[in-house]
Amino acid sequence: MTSIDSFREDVSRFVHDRLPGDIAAKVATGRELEKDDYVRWQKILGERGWLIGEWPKEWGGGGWEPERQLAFLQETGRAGAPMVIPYGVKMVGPVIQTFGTEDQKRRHIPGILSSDVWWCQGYSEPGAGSDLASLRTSAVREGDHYRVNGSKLWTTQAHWADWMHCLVRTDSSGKPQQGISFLLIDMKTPGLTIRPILTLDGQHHTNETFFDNVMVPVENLVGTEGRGWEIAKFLLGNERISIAETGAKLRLLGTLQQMFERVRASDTEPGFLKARLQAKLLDVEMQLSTLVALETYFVRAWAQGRPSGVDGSILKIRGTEILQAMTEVALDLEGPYAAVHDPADLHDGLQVPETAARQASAMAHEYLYGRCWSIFGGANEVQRNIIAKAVLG
Amino acid sequence: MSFLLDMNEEHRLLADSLERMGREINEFEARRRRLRATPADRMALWPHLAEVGAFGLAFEDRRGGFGGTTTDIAVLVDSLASCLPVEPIIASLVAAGRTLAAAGCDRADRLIAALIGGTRVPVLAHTEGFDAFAPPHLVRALPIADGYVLSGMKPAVRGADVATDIIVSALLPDGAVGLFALDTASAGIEMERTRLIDDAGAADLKLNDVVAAGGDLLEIDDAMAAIGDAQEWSLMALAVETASLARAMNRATFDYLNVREQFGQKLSRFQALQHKAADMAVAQAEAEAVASSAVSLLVEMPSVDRQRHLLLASLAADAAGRVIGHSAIQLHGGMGVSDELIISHYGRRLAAIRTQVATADARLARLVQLQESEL
Repeated sequence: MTSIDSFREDVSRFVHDRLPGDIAAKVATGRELEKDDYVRWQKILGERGWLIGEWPKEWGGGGWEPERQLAFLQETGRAGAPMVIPYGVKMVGPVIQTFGTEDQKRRHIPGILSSDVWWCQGYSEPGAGSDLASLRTSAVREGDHYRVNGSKLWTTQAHWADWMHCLVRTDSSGKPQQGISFLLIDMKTPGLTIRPILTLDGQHHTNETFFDNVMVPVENLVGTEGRGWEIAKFLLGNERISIAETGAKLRLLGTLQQMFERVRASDTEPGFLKARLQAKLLDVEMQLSTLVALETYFVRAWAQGRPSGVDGSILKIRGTEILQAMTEVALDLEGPYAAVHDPADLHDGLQVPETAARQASAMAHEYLYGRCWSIFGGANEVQRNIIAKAVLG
Repeated sequence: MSFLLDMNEEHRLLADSLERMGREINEFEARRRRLRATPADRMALWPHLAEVGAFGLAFEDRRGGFGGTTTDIAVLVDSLASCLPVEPIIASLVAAGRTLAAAGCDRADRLIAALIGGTRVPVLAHTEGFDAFAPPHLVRALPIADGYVLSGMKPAVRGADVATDIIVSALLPDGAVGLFALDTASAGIEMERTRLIDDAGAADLKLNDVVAAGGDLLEIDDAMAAIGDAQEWSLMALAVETASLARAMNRATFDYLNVREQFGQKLSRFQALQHKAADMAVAQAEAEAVASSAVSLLVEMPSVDRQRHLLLASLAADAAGRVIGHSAIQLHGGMGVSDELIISHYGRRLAAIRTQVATADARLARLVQLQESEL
């Protein structure tokens, strides 16, 4: 057994042994997780030293090579562990470590590592989605503060967050990419308000955030004023290993296979219908195993010096489109329950018994929220533009 | 109305008043508030529809209505589609209505009259598994003196949550199928209510030794044929609804592409999005064409050939609805996945349509079955 294989086994066993039963049950039944569920799990990972496995050793991390990072992501996802919420440990943490001052490190890193301080990301705006560089939320220097005005859209988990890392415009005289700065903003600052936005799945994941003369101390600027775009690009580079999210997809495939077994066992459904569903299931299995192979191939090639180039865009497109195909098969496998979707089912206490309708709500949730993935984080059309530009020049 | 329907002056007047009603009563925010309330109000349109006599459109003169043709149903569905009614118009008027109209008995006559008057809401409960075209096997009716005892379960019956009566199919001891009209307040009827992806309501209908009077068994020569006819009419209505939603979604999406700017120009200037929009226009034309053909198909007498063509049309409508539903959301970007804009609500209704009556897989399986039985 290679060291990666035995690491995979360790991770899988750790999740099995240490993931609190109530969180495991919520994930298994497709219930929505609360902030406290994520915090508890991240603290458990933190104690084991696995919250920041991918951080370099000199920052106190595990110094994991990409292949180990991928193994960890896949095994935790497949075993039903909550994802590590990226805004702190995966995004602003490495930014502060790389671009921040000693003072910023002292102030913010401990809270990120303990998961006691929760972060959100303020990038997109009403007028700046895929075209992020056109963002307009302004930060004007006044003495030892920036005065921030404007609004951010799709600030996911802002309602859970203590701090936001935010892209703001400090200068609008040059090209759009110039004059953007990276600010850390305390969510309790006067003038900052959030408005919940329900998404099409009927859940409250995301928000609009308004800045009305929010005064941010100058010491919360990360890096150089006007160089925030470089930080944003640095963050995108960090995403390449987690972008395809194959662990959770492998788990979903397992769920679909269980659902199909129940149909197969029926002695009243027509044989053709069973064969049709089986073929659809095999088709998404083929697509997903290709994605897993692609991801493994890239990770190994990166380790051997392949520039990641557009690989992240390739993984984003295939990962999101395969997820969407899988969730449509999920609905097909629901048969008479295919249209059932009660968002409230996902918040029921664990004492509420499992029913066919509750499971259908969870699958419809996957289908509906699945529509978001090809839009958020750089729409797939933009990813295709990136690839086309790279291959066509 | 952008696709071919043979409308008369009466249709035009009714369509106008229904469209106006939809805009007023189902104004987006008002509808959203009603559906998010506890409990949700899913019948707000119903009394207004009864008041303008819309329900009479589903029945022939001899059943107390003033319509009953496929065009009548199509006008009704098309006029209301873009206001996204969650009221069980197709489940009640079309599915239950067609089975009641096939029956020759007092019970059916009284229910039709009450349905037209807006005082009773019957819905059809037939499907028990994936295969919506199979006879019932879970719900069984055993004869007793003066009637029957029914037991069994029907999963996720659309509209059952607001129904006053259920037209339920049951297997009789001799292997025949009976259709029973049961008051939902009858002892032994249990409803496990749930919500559907388009915000409509449904319920798992459990029949725990429900006693039905002899007169509750509808007098129909061939119950499975009546159910098949009701399903075909429902699929026709759903194809019409798909075409209307395709039109509404395309209009909203094309408008959005012409307004929204990214990277310094209108989204409609990007060729990748232009091609997506073109494919949506193609799909809309197809949806309209198959809706029109479904409307004219059902004028013919029921036959295997009619069912075959109708199933093909409904699958084509589904495919077009999927292209448009998913593309319209994608092209709206973040706004497309927000509950605050109507576009995701249209998309959710299209997702529901693809499962209503029978899933696409079940419809395809039925086509295979029809073909195999002819060989």
